[in-house]
Amino acid sequence: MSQALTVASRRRWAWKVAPGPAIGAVLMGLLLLCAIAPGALAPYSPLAFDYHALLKPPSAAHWFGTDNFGRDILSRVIYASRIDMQIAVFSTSFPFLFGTALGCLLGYFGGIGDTIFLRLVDMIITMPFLVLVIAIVAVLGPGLLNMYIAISVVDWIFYARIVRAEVLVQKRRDYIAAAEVMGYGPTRIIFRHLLPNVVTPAIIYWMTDAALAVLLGSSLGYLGLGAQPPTAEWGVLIADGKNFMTTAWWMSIFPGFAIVAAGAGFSLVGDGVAAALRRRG
Amino acid sequence: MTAPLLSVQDLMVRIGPLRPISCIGFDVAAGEMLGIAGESGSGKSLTLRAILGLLPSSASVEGRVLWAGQDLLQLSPRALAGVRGREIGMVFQEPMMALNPVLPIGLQITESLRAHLGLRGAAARTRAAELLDRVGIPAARERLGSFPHEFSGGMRQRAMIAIALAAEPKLLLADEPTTALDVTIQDQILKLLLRLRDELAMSVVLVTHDLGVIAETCDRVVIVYAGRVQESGPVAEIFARPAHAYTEGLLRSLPDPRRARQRLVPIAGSPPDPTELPAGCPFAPRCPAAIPACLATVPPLAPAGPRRVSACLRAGELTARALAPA
Repeated sequence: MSQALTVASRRRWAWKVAPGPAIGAVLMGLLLLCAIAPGALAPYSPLAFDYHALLKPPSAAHWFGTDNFGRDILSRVIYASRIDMQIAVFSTSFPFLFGTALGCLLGYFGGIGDTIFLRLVDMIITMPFLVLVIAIVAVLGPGLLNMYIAISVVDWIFYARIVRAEVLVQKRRDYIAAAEVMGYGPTRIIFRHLLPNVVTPAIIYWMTDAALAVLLGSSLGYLGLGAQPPTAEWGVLIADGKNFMTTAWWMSIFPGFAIVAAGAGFSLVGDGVAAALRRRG
Repeated sequence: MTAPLLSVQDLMVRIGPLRPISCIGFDVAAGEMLGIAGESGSGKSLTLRAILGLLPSSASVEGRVLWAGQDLLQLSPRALAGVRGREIGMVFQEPMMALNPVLPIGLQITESLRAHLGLRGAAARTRAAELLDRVGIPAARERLGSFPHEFSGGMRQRAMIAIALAAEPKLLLADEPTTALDVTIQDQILKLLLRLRDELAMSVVLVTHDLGVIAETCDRVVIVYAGRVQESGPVAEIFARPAHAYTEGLLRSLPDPRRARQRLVPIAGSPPDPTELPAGCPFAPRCPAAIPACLATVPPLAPAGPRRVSACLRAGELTARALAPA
């Protein structure tokens, strides 16, 4: 009985809460809360004009101050987190799923498809990521959906590269030979036996990538290529505030802090996940 | 004699300029335990992998591997997959490497039951627990959820055997199954293999470099050197009266439990470089009994008594005398 208990308890992931990931989890929790229920948290509507309170500095009524239309910055930052969390998830999920699956196939089968992929990687990595995405958005036209498409079109390649390299290492191991002599087909070997052994680096990269996606999304928002005003998005908010930088610093500073918090949150949680997965493997 | 279960004929493997297997052939009878013995690099593990088509695509394989009237080397991948696991199972040397580290043991067994026998759900779990129980893992049902790293070395090899036997193959290929284990566990695993062979009426091909293991477990033995069969026949006869100078050398290099503190006689030199094999008998350069004819051409396998063959030109002289104490 006691033996069964220890086996069962060992199987559960040993989450040792390190300070970094704990801070990350708190930041992520706050942002997620904002993203899920902005209406419950925001004191005002993000789009409500108040011509009696234009460009007011932070006060008890408006904690983060107001903008040039009298809109409450705190409410706009809270509503913006919904868009930015969406960017983090939507623009990285397809690359993660598609890139991981394709990386498995390329690494396992090799051949002409693999060669074409490697040349494609060579081409893509010669161009800066941001420039490439901007170029694609420029073709498709600005807007959130086109931004997701542009990021997805380029980003999957990095996941595929990571997973492919890991597959090349793992497929030479005996347990894959063992699965082959068990008479299993390639689909079963790749997705049942190989995938769980190669997905860890991709998950870790996914966490980092989500942080980068928030930065990229707000960069594009700032440049007017992502979310369009009057939608509240952190990059758009900073862009709104840039003309008032010297007189109303609060317009740009607080969305900036939100971006930093999101980036730090994803990265710290990613570190925690990476450590937990490594400890398990 | 009835038709053999598996018949390997003139197997040759080329990898680039190398020819790690020049000519290997043997039969496995139903219910038989066949040992394949040889030094490291003699091609014995490669032979097993070649039988099941596990070699990298850079290797080219020639010869015939006859199984149930078909040549495994000519089968389509789909047809070969039907033989693998279902009809021929395989156990590897290092169970930690050969078990999937991230899947529970139970799942690795039920997967085979599902793929080959169509068993699912509770029925598959019950059968998996029976299999673990059969290979001697205590509290089998509770261990179904355990991961390979939670098992000891011997338990892992037992689990590996349970997985290989899940679909009740007729033949089990065991590639040095006990080499990575310590001696007491080794003995348990060998006894387990013998018991399972009897219970399941299957054949076993046991590859090892340990002649002691062969003597203890096998009915017949194939001695392999430099990618060629040198000698084969019943274990007791070969150990008592080797018909090949190489076999004799191997036996002389083993300690004899009846005599204390003896000097062992090692075989001088080392196996030939596979890039430049000698023209004649591959063992001739190291052979104390070599005659000029040995260096000229590769001696063919010739009968050396009932059910025995040898590729030694001096087989007759060797078998005439029992292995004398060195």
